[in-house]
Amino acid sequence: MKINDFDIATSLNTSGLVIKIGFFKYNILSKLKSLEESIATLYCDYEISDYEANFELVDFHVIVKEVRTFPAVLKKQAQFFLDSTAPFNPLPLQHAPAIIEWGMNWCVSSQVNTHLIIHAAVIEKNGFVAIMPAPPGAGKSTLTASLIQEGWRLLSDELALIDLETYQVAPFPRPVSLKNESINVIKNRYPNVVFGPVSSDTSKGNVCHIRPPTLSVKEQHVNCPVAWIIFPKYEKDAETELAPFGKAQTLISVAENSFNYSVLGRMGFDILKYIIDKADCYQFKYSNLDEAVKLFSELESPK
Amino acid sequence: MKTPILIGVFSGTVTFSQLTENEWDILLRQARKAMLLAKLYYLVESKQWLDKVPLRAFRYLKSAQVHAEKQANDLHWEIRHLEIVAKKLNHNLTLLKGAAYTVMGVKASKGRVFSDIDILVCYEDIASTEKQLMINGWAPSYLDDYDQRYYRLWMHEIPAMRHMFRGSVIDLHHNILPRTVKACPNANLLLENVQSHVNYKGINVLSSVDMIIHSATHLFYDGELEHGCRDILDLYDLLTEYLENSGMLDSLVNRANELGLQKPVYYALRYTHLILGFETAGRYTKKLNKNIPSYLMRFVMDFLFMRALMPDHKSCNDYATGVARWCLYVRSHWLRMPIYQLIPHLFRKSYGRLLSDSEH
Amino acid sequence: MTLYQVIGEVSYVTWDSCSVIYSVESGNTYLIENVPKIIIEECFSSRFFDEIAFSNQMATSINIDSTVIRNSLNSFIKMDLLEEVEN
Repeated sequence: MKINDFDIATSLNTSGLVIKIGFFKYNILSKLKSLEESIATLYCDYEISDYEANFELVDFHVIVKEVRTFPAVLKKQAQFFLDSTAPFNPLPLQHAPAIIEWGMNWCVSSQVNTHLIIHAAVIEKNGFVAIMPAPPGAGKSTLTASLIQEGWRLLSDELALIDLETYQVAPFPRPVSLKNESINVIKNRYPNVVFGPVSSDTSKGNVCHIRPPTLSVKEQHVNCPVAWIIFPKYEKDAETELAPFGKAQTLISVAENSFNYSVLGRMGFDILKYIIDKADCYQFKYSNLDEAVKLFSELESPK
Repeated sequence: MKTPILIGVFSGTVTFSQLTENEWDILLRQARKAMLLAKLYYLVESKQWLDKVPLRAFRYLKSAQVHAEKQANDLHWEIRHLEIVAKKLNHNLTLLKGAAYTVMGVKASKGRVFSDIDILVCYEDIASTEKQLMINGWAPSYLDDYDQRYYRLWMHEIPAMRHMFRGSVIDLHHNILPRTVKACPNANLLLENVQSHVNYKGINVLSSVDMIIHSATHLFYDGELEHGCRDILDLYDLLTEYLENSGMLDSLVNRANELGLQKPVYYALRYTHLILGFETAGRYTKKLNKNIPSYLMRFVMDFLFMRALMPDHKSCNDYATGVARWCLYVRSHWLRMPIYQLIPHLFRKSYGRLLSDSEH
Repeated sequence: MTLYQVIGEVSYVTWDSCSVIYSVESGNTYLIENVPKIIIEECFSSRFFDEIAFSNQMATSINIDSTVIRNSLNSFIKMDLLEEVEN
């Protein structure tokens, strides 16, 4: 069922709203109005249902609710829960839409070891995937948000999920998060993109999320092999440059950007060995989005 | 009180083939809260049901099993380093609890998730052992004067030591209960009966019977029972495996009598019987020769432990679970220290918690 | 005559002149630069090897300085990939 036919407020307030994202099912409970509006805006293309309809087996039961803590009794705060566990401290109530996005990412990155999980954006073209690992501030989200408006499919803006058996990447498309100046950059470049509410004054500055392209959601069951591993870095006034990156160094860098490489032991090493051997590995520096988009469009797919 | 599904599957009263999707959902949530997902994986495997588990459930069983396997791998690496430490000392290091189960490969080690490595040496060897651990990279904790005194005077262990590079943590013990506890056993009796390890030089574990007694003592004197369900399942594994190997539990009972630890062993037998259906265990309680709880005490303890030993998930709670856990928390402190030390200590602990909460 | 033992299971890959080695025992991953592929292959192809046979093997390949061999072995020992076997 799609969101427009559905009364999501009742589900969110009572037994929960179930949303299918990639191969995961989240059951979301919240009485917060801001969250209801944010979900209605950003998740309108996803398959949803009321939890009470089936009492089905889901991956994560998540809750965002108002909490009052001593001594911050007067300030209204919200907190994310996976079942009854709160992995983060409470934050101001108005950040609820950002809180749930961070929380849903945390669920996957902390609970799943059936996939090698890399902190990276993942996009696809012609059946092949580019993985873009990057620490915060490298400009990966702005780049990703642009590329997915220019013909690339979004698999994820945060978590690359590599299947341990097929070595392909499984989609986990979600609203793409943008911070500070990137919000205006994308607003100006792509006026048709739908924005969720802005959370101002978070620890990361101003944060908001954009609705993922409908096609990315529709194809969220289509896994693809890796053709490119590209480390992006935005640098003011820099020349656009795509420089080959040594495969051995790529392996180390990808492992360092991974949530569960160590936990997977030898399996993690063997998968990266295989994928990197087949992929083209680069470091990418840019300041001009037009040139960046053009360069990506010229990347050659493997035969 | 309704039996949680997690207890049902481990006790065998519920089979996996009976479970609906919704019941799998609840089972996983109970297991996750109780840190038993990996152990559940191995239970499913032992029932040859792994390929029939719903994929969405298998995902979390498998993920937990991968994590537990890695922890076991890391533990073996740490023991290797402890061999080097033991070589420099003229006494052996006796591993306790999880570390001991893992190096011995017993049932209780499967799917274990643990943090610290517990080691026992005799009181006279604490200083030299601590020194050698420091030389090999384990740094002592920073504690204020009160806490240092609390540990050194009253406790059965010294403050935790964390390795500077690898991050592993060692709890060095000279007994299995604090000195302030009435039933504190003679540690030398334990150390006289240790078994040496086949593969690791200088590394011992307690005798099989003492391992059970230690596990029971640790559980039934402890106050923080969020892992109570896991601990009673450990005891169940240790007891059933011992029974399989030796055919009877008489040695266990005799040893409990010898060490003066009849009470925790009584509870271990009673609750593995009541919760997990281990009838044989129930029959052996009569052979303990003293310190048996009175009828009234049994009634009270049943009220408390039959709740606190359930998975710490809201689906397993009833009106009294919160109170029961709180009572056992206070009880554990009361057992460990005289009242004139208990009140200021509890006050200090809750004040400390209040302060650290408000810092966030 | 020194006998060396590989510590547990070791997996590796070489691209150009750089290798990455993974030790299952320690869980550590190492980037190795400027060590010839043949040294890595010979070190980790079997459980034990002795130093003399190893050096002879290297001598039959092209231009490997004995210092490079010694330094590599010492590095591998420091990384807990190899250990000397006590007789």
